[in-house]
Amino acid sequence: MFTDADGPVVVGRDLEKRYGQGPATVHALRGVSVELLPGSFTAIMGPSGSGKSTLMHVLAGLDRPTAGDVWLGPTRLAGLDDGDLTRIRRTRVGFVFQTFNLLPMLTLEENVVLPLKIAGEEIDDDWLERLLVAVGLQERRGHRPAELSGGEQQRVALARALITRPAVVFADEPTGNLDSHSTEILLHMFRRAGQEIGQTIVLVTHDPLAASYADRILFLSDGQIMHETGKLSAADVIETVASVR
Amino acid sequence: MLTFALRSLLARRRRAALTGLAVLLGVAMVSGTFVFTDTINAAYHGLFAATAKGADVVVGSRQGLYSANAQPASVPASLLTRIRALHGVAAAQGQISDVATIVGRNGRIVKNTGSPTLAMSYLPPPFTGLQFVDGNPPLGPNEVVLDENTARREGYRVGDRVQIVTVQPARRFAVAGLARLGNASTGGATFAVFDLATAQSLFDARGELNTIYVAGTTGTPPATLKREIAPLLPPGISVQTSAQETHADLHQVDDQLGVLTGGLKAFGFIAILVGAFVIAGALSITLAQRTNELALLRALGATRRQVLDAVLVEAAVIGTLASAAGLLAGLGAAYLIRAVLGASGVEVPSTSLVLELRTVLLAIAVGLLVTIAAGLVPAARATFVSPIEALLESRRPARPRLSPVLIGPVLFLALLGALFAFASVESRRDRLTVSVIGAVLFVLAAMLITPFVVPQLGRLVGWPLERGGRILGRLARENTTRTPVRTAVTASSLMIGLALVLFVSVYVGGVRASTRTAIDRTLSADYAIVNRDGTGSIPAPSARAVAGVPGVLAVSSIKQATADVAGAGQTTSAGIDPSSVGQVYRFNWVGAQPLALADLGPGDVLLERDTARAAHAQVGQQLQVASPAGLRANLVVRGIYTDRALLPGLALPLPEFDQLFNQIRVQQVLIKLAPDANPASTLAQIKASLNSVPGVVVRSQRQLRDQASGQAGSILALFYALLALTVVMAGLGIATATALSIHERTRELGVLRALGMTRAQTRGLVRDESLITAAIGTMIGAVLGIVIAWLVTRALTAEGVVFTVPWLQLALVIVVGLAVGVLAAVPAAARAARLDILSAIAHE
Ligand SMILES: Nc1ncnc2c1ncn2[C@@H]1O[C@H](COP(=O)(O)OP(=O)(O)O)[C@@H](O)[C@H]1O
Ligand SMILES: [Mg+2]
Repeated sequence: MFTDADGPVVVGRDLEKRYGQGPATVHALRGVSVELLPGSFTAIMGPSGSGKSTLMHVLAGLDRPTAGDVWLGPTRLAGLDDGDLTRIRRTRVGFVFQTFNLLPMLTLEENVVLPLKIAGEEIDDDWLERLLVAVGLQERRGHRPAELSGGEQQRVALARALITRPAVVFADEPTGNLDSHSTEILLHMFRRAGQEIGQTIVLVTHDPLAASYADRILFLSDGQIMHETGKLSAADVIETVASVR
Repeated sequence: MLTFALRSLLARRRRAALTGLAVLLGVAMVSGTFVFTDTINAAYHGLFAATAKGADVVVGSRQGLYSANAQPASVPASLLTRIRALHGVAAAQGQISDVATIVGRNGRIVKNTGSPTLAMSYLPPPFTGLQFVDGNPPLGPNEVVLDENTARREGYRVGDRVQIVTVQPARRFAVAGLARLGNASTGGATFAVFDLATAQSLFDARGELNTIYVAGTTGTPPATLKREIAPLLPPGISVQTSAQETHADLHQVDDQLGVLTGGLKAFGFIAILVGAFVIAGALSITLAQRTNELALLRALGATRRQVLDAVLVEAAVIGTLASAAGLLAGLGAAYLIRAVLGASGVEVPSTSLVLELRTVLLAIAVGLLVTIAAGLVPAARATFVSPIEALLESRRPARPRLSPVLIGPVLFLALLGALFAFASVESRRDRLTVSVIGAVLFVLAAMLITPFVVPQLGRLVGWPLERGGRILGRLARENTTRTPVRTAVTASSLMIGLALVLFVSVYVGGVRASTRTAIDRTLSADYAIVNRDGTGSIPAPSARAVAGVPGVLAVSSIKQATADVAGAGQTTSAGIDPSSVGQVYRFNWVGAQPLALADLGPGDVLLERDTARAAHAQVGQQLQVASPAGLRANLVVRGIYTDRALLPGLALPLPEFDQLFNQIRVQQVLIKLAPDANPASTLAQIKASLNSVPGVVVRSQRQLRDQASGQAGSILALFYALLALTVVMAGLGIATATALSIHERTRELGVLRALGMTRAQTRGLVRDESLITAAIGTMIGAVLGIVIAWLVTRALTAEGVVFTVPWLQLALVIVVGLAVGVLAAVPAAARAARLDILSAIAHE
């Protein structure tokens, strides 16, 4: 998929995002630069309103920065039209949202293959089987989302994000609506995806436990990256958060 | 609670606006239909009222707009002087009325789609119902006043010269003025007004009058006036107060326009149904969302009462505002139908739009009641269970099961419908009514059952969209079928509209075919001489002129008038010549032929089967028949025949007819050629022999047949216009429902977009949803339309009405139905494609 296997999967340079005008302007991002290397598992942490989601949206091509540039692999997003961006999302990006956002009328399996179906692409059955087994739901493939718990639904959402073998998976507070047990199971699965298939992952969270699963943590505050660390334990994350403030 | 309700309305502005739009459409449907139909009725009635303006008492018969073929009886003009001399009389004027054909600038007869072509003498004030638009009343032998409509269409202005065909050879007149009757336009009817002396000479009525209008002195009651005048009248001439007269006229209008008024009433009912469905459909979409909100309110501690208040306030605000706007939109719709009809050359009388209080009340009742009822459903759901249960319930997609509560009524209705349909074959009387009831029951059963078959139908009609595992087609289908009730309700309005289109076309096709068959079976004449415009009468000498042409075997005249038959009311009555009619016309006897036609004598009458049924008359019985002038005769029924085309009503031997109706001119002259005659040269000679007779044409049997079966064109066009309105409203209803449904699923669309759905695919998804809903409505509508048509035509089999599957119309209905689906999706699809992905995902 990528010719330049060792280059960064995602690059954001001097990203700014402003909402509104004049005195009421909100600076959601004030000059953020990031590079995500292949196979990296990055957590973006920060208090509510610090610009985490905005950064993720801009990096994923869901939103356009007010200033700065984003490259997804070799592609520069600036200047692409909606159709191009949609095609990039189809092939190179996977999403997991806070609310599970499965389609209620489709079965679990149908939800997983939905992105391929939308794109009109072939389904790799082996890959599908592997994902279903990996998220532990191969037995329940025919069930509807309403019959699943929140944790299970989010696992379906993860499988759905991985089905297209995207270059990068963005997850915005995926554990926000889950109890601690389900949270741990899900985070485990994220880590396995990183380890077993070298999936590049960006995890937006304000949960220190979730951040402790990542190899690299960016601390965001008021639209700027204040601090960056490698892997930390949950306890260290809490400490770092406190010191960054 | 009040502020909460208003706040939530504001917060859900788009939902409120779309719901309001649906209410507006529903109300507009109701008010538009009623305004339109009331306007047509008022126009017809207005035309009548205008002709009796200013009179307290009317002597003699008046020629109505709808009995143009019946020539009124005449009274001596001297009677006028004697009436004027009476004590209580303030003013009296006499009038001549007849028919005359106006010739256009291009030398052709003015086309008027079979409507009356009236001629009358000018009535001086205070009686004239004419309103002059331009110019003056006619004066002297060379002036005429034309109706404004015809003049405008043909480009005649005051001072122009116009050719007019009467009993006399065509003549040119100077246009003295342009006028209209009352406030209404006459529709297709044309009129020409001459001064009295001119009219008398034009219509061979020197020294005669048809009608005398009398105004009493102040303080003289019309009844007294009537009593004073009565002794002066020759036998057979009646006097009536103008109230009686107008009443009788209106009665006659309603009689003659039975199909029209019946149809218009039916449309009122349909409008209410469709309007209610459009509103209910829109509100059912937001049901889950509203239930959820109300349950949340309950969970936060609101009392039942408070929840109820909130719902009522919301419904009342939306219902009232939207109903008011809907009323205005209805007026606009009525105006539009009229404009469209006018532009497509269909002439119906019309006047300024009539907005009755009844219309306002009905329209607002539909708007408000349906909105409130639909608002109470989520309130009930949210308040009769615990708040948490309600919250959970509202998030579960509802799937209706065929609940035992409903199976009962549905089966019952279907059974009843079948029973009625069956009965319609067995019982001979009132089969039509019975089968119509059966048809209505079928419609109701279909509407009840629709929600339960939506999933199956959705799969069926959605198949082409899903073929090859197309997931978006599948999503569209699932979206429409996961809420079967709302899909059914949304599709219902389209279903009704399309079913009616099919029904009407099958029915009309059947009736036309039956007319054609009837004429083929009964008319043995080769040619007929008729009035140029197809409805008026022709000069009696026509028959004499043709009789001498070599190659003509037989010539038979038929006269026509309207009589009042005891038990059967206003009945078309034909005068036939017993000695010759058998050579040009074959009676289709009910039972054995009663007697030789030639033996038909004075005091005998033949009845068409419908008349016999209505009058409960049998062969050998006596029947009283009265002429418009009030002459009565007791006739013996000598035979019963069937023919709704050429001799509807009844037939009398000519001598008897002439005594009753005192009518000089004839309706048509039927001609039979000798077997060895050369048709072409004989026809040429027949035409040549008629050169001196103005205003007549010769038609072949085939032309006559086609003309008869093509009648009622403008009433049909009117019905189709109203049906088109129904279909358009149904389409707008689906558009609103689709917009609401998209609004409700904003987040789902956002997610799909994030997962890689393009804008084009988004539009396709929305279009498919609307298409599936429309296809379901179309399918049920098509089946229903054909079933009803089959039921009703079957009931009329004995009348020769045949049922044929209307393949062309069926294809047309399917195309229109699907097109409605595609078009209805356009606004919602455009909006869905423009959705901002991020705010859509954040949308709750
Ligand atoms: N569409 C928007 N319009 C205006 N302000 C916005 C919008 N989206 C986000 N913001 C503002 O931008 C800032 C960053 O938001 P966000 O990236 O959602 O923060 P986080 O995800 O870290 O909670 C916040 O102050 C938020 O209010
Ligand atoms: Mg966020």
